[in-house]
Amino acid sequence: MNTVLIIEDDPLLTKMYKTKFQSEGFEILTAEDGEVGLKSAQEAKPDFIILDIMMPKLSGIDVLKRLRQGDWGAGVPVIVLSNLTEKKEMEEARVLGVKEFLVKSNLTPKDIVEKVKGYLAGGD
Amino acid sequence: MQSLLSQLSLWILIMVGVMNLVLTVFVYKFNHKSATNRVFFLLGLAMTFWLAAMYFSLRTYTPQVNLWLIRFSIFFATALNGLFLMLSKTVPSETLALKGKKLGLLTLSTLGVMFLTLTNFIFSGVEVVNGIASPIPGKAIIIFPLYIVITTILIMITLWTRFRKAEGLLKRQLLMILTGITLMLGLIVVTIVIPVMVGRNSSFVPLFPVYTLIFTGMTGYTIIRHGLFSFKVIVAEALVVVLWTILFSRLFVLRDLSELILNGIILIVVSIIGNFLIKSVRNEVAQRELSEKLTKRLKELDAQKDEFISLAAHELRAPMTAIKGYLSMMLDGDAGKLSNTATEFLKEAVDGNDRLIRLVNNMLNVSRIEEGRMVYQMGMVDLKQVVKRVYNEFAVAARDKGLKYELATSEGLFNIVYVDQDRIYEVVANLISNAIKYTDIGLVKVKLSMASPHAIKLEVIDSGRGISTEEQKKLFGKFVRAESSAGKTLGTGLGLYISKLLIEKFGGRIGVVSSPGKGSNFWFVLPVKRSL
Repeated sequence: MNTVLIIEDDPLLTKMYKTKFQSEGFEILTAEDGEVGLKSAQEAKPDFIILDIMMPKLSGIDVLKRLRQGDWGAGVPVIVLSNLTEKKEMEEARVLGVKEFLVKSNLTPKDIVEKVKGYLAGGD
Repeated sequence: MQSLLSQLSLWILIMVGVMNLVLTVFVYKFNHKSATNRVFFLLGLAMTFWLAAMYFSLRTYTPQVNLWLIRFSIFFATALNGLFLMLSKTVPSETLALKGKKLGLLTLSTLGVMFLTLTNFIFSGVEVVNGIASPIPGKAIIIFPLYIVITTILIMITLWTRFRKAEGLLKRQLLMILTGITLMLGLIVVTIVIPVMVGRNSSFVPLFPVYTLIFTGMTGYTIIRHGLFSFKVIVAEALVVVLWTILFSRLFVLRDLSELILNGIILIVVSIIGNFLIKSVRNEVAQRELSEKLTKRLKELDAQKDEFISLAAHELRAPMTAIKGYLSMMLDGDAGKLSNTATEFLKEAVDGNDRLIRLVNNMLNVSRIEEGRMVYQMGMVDLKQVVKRVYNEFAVAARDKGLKYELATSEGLFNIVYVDQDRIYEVVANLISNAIKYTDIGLVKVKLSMASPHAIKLEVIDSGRGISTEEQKKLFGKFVRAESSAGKTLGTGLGLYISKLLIEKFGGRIGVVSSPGKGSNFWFVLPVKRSL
């Protein structure tokens, strides 16, 4: 069973994504801010990370930066979720290596699950 | 030079003395509560006495009288510098800038030197040289020039530092005073104080009243004219004042009656016209300043409005995403099997929510597109596919309104365009949803064809009420909404505006063909990518 770590500060959305992923057969870990998220990632080493950009304590980009510095962290697939498409953040994320940079309000949970499945199955 | 100056010097003295006094009293009356105005008043008084003493000290009386006249002139000169220093720190404030110890020091040193000037220590006597009475320096002669020089330097430093730190109106006022004082004191020190003290040369002394007028005029003007401080106004006023002064003083000099009358008439005419001139220049400047102020305020409000919209839209997104998510999950079957009715209702809710999301996206995006902060994910997009998807998305809405709903795509289309897929979807959705929204009976037809071998054209034709040429001009503007046939304005007015920005960003053109009662044809054209 694949593990997905969802790092998102809005509990309303975290619960929603968790519900959907679980119903599709994933094991879910959640974190409500960047610091907790980074720690969870490094300890639990999930198969996929869904990362929100705007978070307190440590922003999504900062989490990504630190993640990529570690051996395991450098390779873990990440999808970034955001409420905005800001040039600066998109560019930074691209440089750090993410599978996709998505805008939350354009997608249903199902869309996100499908994308994760696709990448885990070997798509790029 | 000498005799001409001394001939004129009485006239100069009287005129200047009167003007100084008038100016000073006027400034005092203008606002007698303000410390600045009061100091200026004392200054004016001291200056008048100083002028008188200086003038009479040039005339030859008995040596004793001359000695005292000279002593009084430096007595008042000391007072003047002390008051200058006070003024330079205080202007244009209503309260004294110097307090406590500093005030005490200034007052004491000034009064002290003033006292000394009346004693033998500064000037011990006079001797008559070439008909002019020149003073003999006493033992402590150095104290007077020392005081003058120190206070003058302090005045300059004070004004200069205040000028450097000041902004706007205060800066201009201080510049005015700085210039006036610099000119006056500079001229006095260089042509009077030094030659008299060092070279026993008193030839420039008759010119001193004129020097004072430079200062009194400029400073008095500054203190009063808080408001309109524009160069144009000053020049207009100075011009008229100078002209008037010359004409006025000529009245005392002309002998010939006819010349006198002519001069008098010109004087009156100049007064009247000059008055009008000054008034109109002041008006013009006031208008300009007002419109500058208003423009600044407008820009501020505009920025605030944009910021507010951005903030509001940002906050709305999370709950909208949640609604979208849960609705979709229910339709996915994650909540168990649903009745057909439940499914129908949920689909309506999804439509409504998607519309909401589009509206919020528009609001959020408009300022970002305008400011170039929008990020586009450009790529090769199949426009035909996008149009089909949008067409299908709105099928239910069209059917519910009972409209005939058609899609016609020509044969042999080159339908690949280089755009941002999500954005072009929005544009097509905007056109089709508008057509359905503003048409109550009849037809909405979506047509895709080649405008030319290198451009593809999308047309959304409706049989709605049509749009007048007047309205057409404003249609693609920001926050402009058309009236529906029910007389209600719908929408936020951003859809077409953003569509225009986007299509033009992608290298295309957008427009409308319409007339009242004949429906509308909203179209856009985009360049196609033909190479594979």
